[in-house]
Amino acid sequence: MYALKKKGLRHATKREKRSWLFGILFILPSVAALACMVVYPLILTFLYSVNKVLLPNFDLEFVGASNFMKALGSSQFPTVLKNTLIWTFGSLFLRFVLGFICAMMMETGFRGKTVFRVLTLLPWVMPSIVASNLWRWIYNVDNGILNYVLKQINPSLAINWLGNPSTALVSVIMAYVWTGFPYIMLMLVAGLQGIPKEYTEAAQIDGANSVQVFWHVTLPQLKSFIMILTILEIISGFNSFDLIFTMTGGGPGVSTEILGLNIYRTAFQNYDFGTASAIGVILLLIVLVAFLFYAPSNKKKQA
Amino acid sequence: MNRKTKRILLRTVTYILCIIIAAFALLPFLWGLSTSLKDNVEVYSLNPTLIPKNITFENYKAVFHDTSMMHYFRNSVVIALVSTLVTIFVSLFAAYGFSRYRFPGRAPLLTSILFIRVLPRVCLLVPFYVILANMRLVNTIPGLVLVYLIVGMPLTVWLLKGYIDAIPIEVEEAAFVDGCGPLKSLFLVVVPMVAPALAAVGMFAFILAWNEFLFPLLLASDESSRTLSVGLAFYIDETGIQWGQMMAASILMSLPAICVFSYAQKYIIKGMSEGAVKG
Repeated sequence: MYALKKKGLRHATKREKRSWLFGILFILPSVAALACMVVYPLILTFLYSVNKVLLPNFDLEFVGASNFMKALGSSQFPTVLKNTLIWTFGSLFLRFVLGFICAMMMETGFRGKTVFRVLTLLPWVMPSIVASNLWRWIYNVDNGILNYVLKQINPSLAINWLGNPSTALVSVIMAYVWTGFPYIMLMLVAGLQGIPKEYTEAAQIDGANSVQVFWHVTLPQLKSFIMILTILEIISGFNSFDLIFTMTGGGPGVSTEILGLNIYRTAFQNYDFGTASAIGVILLLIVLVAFLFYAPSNKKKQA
Repeated sequence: MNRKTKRILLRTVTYILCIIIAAFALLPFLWGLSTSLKDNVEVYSLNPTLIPKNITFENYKAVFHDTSMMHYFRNSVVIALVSTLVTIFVSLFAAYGFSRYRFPGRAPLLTSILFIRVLPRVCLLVPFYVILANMRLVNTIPGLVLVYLIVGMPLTVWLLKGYIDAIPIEVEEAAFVDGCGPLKSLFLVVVPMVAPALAAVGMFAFILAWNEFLFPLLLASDESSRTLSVGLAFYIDETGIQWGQMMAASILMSLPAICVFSYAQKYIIKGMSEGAVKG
């Protein structure tokens, strides 16, 4: 069927044209939604990024690259970028460690495996706002359970986890890891199930121990899976908003502010839509580059 | 060390790891649940216990008697239901079109739908705000429904396409021979065959809409259109945060997600793991 496409519209038979027409009619509503709610907004973002947006009527005044200069030149930008990178890669690492341990345990198989899987999925199922509330309560200075436990060990260990610039980011990352590691586990379990049993058995017969089997058979087989997961996790790290916004609001100061929050604050607290859009374009480009790594590996998998 | 002790050792390590990870996964939720069932004295007690000493439903009652919370709850239900219906219809047509027909531009379009899933949604906030403001739809339910289309659609299109792909075309050809048009065939042949999956995907779309926070935070910021997720983030009264009530409301808000996942787990996990690879 794909061969037909090459012939071009003029040489298409009546039947092919009919098939095109039906296909296009079926996807029309979704394409319209895509055009109005994605393509058009993205065009606006690019447009605003080189303009000054005057409120309240959103009139535009062309300013060239000055929004980008302003965004990149701001004194907070390096901190925000650093936070974003720590947030993304720190949580990626921890999620993978936990997810991997879980997936490997599920593979070895033990009694209560199914129960374990269902229970560990719970954090992933939680709405982000509920996860945020649960952890805010745990981290609570006076009545939080974390400080209660720490006080039993040593009273000086109890600190204001979310209110202290040096611990706030790590504390929110822990909550973010909590909500995300079950997904990594699920995906890795699915990946592990895709490895033919003969491979590992053959290696075992050849005398490989379990570490060698893991390193030389399991891991290479999972490589493409891990690649895709890593890219998806990096993208969602860069895109995150909910947890940090509700747990610390980016504070204290800008100690937990990441790009997403920076855009929000620039746009809706400083009402500088132009600069916010410029930061948005920067974020978009980062994600687009990551996506381009994802899309080809995706195609290969489908074929 | 002989084989047997080695195996026992491995077993023990596995179980210990399991318990630690399960505790990490469960305790935050259980702690919230426990707090929600305590009275105020116990919530702020200096020696808290995981099991409440006297279980009380006061906090839950307080949430149900909170008129503004109930109003947010209604908003969330209406918005999530309507947007799920719209999303499912649009996605079903799209999935069928992409699955059964070949037309110019098909592949790039599919990739663009995939791209929405990874799009930084914060970038869309400013344009969405401007678009909705121009249409006078800020702080209205129709405005949010429109925006929620892109929350659910990418995933539902890809999941449904996968399920429709799995149905052999021959099944439909029989219907075509009998004189069915494509639309009739979609609803009379395909939909009944994917019904369970469709239900699961629909529930999933509902949960995505139910949990959504960023868009309503900005686009439904007034009392009348505020959703539960936003209301819960700012659930504070003049005396500060009432943690007992806060936990009760949080547990209630997570219930739909927990129910849907326990029912539709099979489909969603399958779809998600295929989704990571395919879309």
